[in-house]
Amino acid sequence: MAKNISLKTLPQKKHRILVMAHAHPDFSLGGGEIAAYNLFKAYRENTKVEDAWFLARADRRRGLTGAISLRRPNEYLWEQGVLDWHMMKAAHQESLTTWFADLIRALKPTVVHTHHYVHLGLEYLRVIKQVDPSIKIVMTLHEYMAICRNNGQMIKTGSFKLCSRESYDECHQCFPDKTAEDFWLRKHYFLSHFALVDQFVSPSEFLRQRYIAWGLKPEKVVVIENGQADEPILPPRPLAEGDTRNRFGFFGQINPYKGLDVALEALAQLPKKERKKITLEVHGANLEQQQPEYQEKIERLREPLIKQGVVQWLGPYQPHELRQRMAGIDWVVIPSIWWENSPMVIQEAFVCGRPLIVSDIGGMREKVNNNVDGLHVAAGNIRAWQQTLHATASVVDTWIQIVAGIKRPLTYDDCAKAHLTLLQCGVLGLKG
Amino acid sequence: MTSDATNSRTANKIPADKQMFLAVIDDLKPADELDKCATPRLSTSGKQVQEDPIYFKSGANIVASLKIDTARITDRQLEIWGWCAGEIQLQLLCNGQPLKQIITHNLRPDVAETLKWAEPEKGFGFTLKAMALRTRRNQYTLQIQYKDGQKIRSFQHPLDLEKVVSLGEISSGVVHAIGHLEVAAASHLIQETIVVGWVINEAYVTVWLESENGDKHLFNNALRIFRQDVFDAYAHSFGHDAREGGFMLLIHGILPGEKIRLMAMSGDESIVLGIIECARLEATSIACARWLLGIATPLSQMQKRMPLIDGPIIDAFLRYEQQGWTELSLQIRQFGKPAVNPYVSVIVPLYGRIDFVEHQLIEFCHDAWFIENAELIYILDDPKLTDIFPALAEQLYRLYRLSFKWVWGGVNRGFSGANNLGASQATGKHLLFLNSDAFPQQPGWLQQLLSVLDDHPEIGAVGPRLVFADGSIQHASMEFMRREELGIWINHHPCMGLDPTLDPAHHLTLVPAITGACLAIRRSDFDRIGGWDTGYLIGDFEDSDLCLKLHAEGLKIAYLPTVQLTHLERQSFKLLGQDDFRTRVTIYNAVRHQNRWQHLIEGLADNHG
Repeated sequence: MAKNISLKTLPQKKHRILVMAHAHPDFSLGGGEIAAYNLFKAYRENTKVEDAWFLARADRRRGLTGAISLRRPNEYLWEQGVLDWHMMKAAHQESLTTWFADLIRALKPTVVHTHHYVHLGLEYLRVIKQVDPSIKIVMTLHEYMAICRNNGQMIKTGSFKLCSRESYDECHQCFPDKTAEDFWLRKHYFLSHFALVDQFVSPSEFLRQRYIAWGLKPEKVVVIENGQADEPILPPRPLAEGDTRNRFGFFGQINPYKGLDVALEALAQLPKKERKKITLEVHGANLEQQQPEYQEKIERLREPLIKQGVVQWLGPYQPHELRQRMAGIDWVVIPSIWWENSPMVIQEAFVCGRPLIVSDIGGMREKVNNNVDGLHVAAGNIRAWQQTLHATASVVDTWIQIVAGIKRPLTYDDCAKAHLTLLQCGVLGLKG
Repeated sequence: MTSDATNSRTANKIPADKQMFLAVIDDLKPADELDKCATPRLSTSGKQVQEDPIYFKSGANIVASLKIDTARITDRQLEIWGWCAGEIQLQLLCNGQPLKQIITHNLRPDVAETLKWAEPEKGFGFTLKAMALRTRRNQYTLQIQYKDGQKIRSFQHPLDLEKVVSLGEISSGVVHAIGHLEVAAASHLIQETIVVGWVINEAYVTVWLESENGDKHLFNNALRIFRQDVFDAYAHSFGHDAREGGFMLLIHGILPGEKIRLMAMSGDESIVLGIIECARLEATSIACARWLLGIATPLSQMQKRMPLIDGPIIDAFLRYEQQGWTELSLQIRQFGKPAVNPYVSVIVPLYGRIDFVEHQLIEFCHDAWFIENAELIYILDDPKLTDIFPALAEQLYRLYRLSFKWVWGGVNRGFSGANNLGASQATGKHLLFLNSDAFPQQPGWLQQLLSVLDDHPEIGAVGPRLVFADGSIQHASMEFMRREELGIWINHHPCMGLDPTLDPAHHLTLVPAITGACLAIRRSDFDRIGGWDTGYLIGDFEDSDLCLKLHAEGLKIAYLPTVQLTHLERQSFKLLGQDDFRTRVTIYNAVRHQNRWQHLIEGLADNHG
C-alpha cells in the first residue's frame, strides 16, 4: 500500500534532522512518541545523517513556562502546552518566537521531522519557516486530530457512532457550543498551518485517505509504517497434550474506544462450558482514569469472568516487558470500536510472531490481513466476537496456518532509511 | 398533562415580591367582622391597589387580583380604569352608599401575559363609571368582594382620586373632550421631548399641550394611533371620534421635571384634561432607541411614526455623541515600517471578536502584492477589547511579521464611525473596507479588485463575491426589495445560499449596491461624498447608503465575482416581521434610508428588477 519510493542515489549533503514530538518516552508511553523517539535514534545512527536532535514537549510540573531545556545530549524538552483545543493554539506564545526560534537558529536543521501538534500548538510550523524558509518540514500524522475535534477519534460524541468525515454542521452537532462557523475557523487554521508542511507521512493508507478527503493533496502524503525493534520471533506457547490455541491477550490502553468491553461481553455470553475453554489475559492500563460509568461496566463484566478463571487481569507493562508477556499467549486481540491508525501492538505482535484478531475497520483492517496473518471480526459485534473467539480457541490448525502468513515488520533502521529516501526523492527534492 | 396542572398551580403561587401585599390582605378580618368596623380599609395609604397590583389568596393560591390604573373624578363623573382577574365584584360607594354604576370590559393581553392566566372573553380590563354627587366633602370608596373558598370576603378601598375637569353634561350623554397623558420624557442634552397619551375631542373642541412657561403645542404634527382600549371605553360616547385616540408628539424646549398639561377649550372655557411630569430620557442613542422603539405601535405604522417621532430624537442623540468624538485623543500602535504612499489602505473595524485577526494575517502575510502595496489598519471599536487586543497584536506581529497598525478611538463609534476613523488614518490612494470576519481565498485578490477602479473611471465602488463557511454565496451584490407590509425597502442579497457556480454573474457586473463587508473605493470619491453616514443604528444600511451617495454623484457600483472571500457572517434566522427590537431597528434604518434616497432606490429597483 505504501507509495513506491524510487531509490535513485543522488549526490547530496548530509541532513541535519530535528525530530519533534508532543511527548518524551521518558515520561509518556504513547505510540506516537515512542515511534518518534525510535526514529530519532535511527536517524542518529544513519551515516547519511550529519546529526539529529529530539525536541519533545514535556510537563515538568511547574506550569507552562515555555522554557526549553536539555534532557541529555541532543535531546531537549519544551514546556509548552495547548489550552485552546479547538484551535490547537500554543499556550505559551512568547516562547515560540524567542526560545524556540533560537533553538532552530542554533541547530540549523535542514529538516524538521515533527510527529505531532497536539500539546505543541500549530504555530511552531510557521516559526520554523520564519527563521529559515529553506528548512523542510516533514510531519507524521498519528490520528485524526486535525479532522475531528473529538480527540481525533472520528467518533460521534455521546453515541460512539463511527464518523467518516468532517462537516461543519455535523461537527457542530457533536459540539453544540461551537458553531459551524467555528469549525470553519478551525479547519482554516489547521489547513493554513499544514500548508507550511512540505511532506506528510502517514503510518497507514487508511489515515492517509482520511486526510486527503479532508483537504491534503494526495502527493503530499506518503505511507511509511512505524519501525520496530529488530528482534527474533518468539517460540510458540508450549502446549500440553490436547491443548488448543486458546490464550488471547489484550494489550494497551483501556478506554471506551478500545472495545475491551466488547470482548468481555462476548465471553460472558458464551455457555459456561465453552467459556471455560478460553483465557483472555488483559495487559491493560489506565482503567482508573476512565469515567466512573465505564469503570463500573468493566468491573461488572470482569468480576465473574475472573472468578471463573476465564479472564486474567495482569495490568500495565513497561515496553521491555512486552515480549515476555506475549510469550504466554497465542493470539493478540484488538476489539477497538474506533478506526485506529496503525496500532503499534499490531507491529509488535508480528515481531513476536503472534497473529491477531482485530475489528474489521480502519487501520486494523488495513494492517491485519484476514485469514493471512490474522482474522477480522465485525467491529463492536458481540456475537461475531463470541463466534470467532470460540472457533479459534477450539482448534490448533487455524493458528498454525495464520502464523505462517506473518511477515517481518519494518525495523527502526528500515523506517529511517525510507524517510531518508523520501527526503531525497519525494516532493522535498533535497538533492543537495 | 399532570405537569400542566402543576405549572398552573405554580403560577398561582405568590411571587416573592408580592408577599408584602398579601400580608396586608391576610391581616383583614372576614367580611362579617368587617361589617362591625366603622370604615374597614384595605390599607391606610390607599396606595397599594392604585400603584401596584394586589393579590387575593385562598389557602396558598392566588385566586384573584386587582389593579387600578387610573381613578379620577371630573365635576360630573367618577371614572376608574384598571384590570381585575378572578371572581371579584366591584362596587363604587359614596359615603358608604352604593352608586349607580356602569362597568365595561376590554382585553388586556399584557395582564394575561404577566399573570400567566387565560384571559376571559370579556377581558381583564375594566372601566367603571358612576355619576359624581354634587355635594361637597364626599368620600368615595371602592368595595371589593372576592370568593375565598365558600366564603365571600369583602372590604373597602378609599379611592385616591385625581381631580380633572371635563366638558359637557354627562346627564345628556354627551362628553366633548377627554384625554390622558401617559408618558412624557425629555433630556437636557437635546431639545426634543416626547409625549404619549390619548385624547378624544369633538371637532369644535380645540386640544393642545401646554408647558409650564405657557408654550402651546397643537396636535397638527402628532402621530395619531388607533387605541383599542380607548376605543372600547369611549366609542359609546364619542363614536367615530374615538377611533384615533392615541397620540405621540414631539415638542421642544422642555426639561425633565417640568409639568406638561393636556388642555381643551370650548367656547371661552379652557380646561385641564390631564397633567404629567416630564421624565428623563435614557442618555445614549442606543439606550434611548431601545426605550423609544419599545413604545408599542403596530409594525405597519412604524414607517409613519419613525420620521415624526423616533428619528428626530435619535438623530439628536447621535449628533450629540458624535460631537464628543472629536475631543477624544487617539491611541495608535504601528508594527513594522509605516507605509509610505501606499496604493491602498485596508481598514478593518474590530468589535467583539478578535480571534479573526490572526486568520486574516495568515492570508495577508503570504500575499506579495498585499505586502508591497497595502497599508493595513485595524480600528478597535470596542472598549472591551482595549485590554486584550494590544497584547494579542504584539504576539501576532511576532509571528506574522506583517506591518500593520491599530487605532483606538476612545469610544465605540459603530460600523460607519469606525470606518471613517480608519479613513482619517489612511494614506492610500484607494480605500478597502473589510470586515474582520472576511478572509481572502487567494493572494492577489486585492490587486484584482483595485484594478477595476483603475480601469473604469465610471465605477465608484467595487466588491467581490463573499461565501459562507460552507462555500455557498453570502454576497453577490445587493438589490433593493420592497416589503410592502412594513412600508419599507430592504437590502436584499440575491443568490444567497446558492452554489457559486449558480451565480448569474461571471465577470465584472454593474449592480445597485454592494456590501460594506468588503468594499473598495477611491480615496478622492470617498472624501467627496463625505464618507460613511453615521446616522444609522447598530450597523445596517450604511453600505447601501454609501453606494447611493456614489450613484447620486453619477458613479456606478460594480460586483466582481472572480474575486472570492470567505465571510463568516452568521446567517440570521430571525425573520424580519417578528415584532422585536431588531426588527424595529431595521425598520428605523430602512425608513431613514428610503427617506434619503427614495427616487434613486425606486429607479435602481426598476432598472435591475
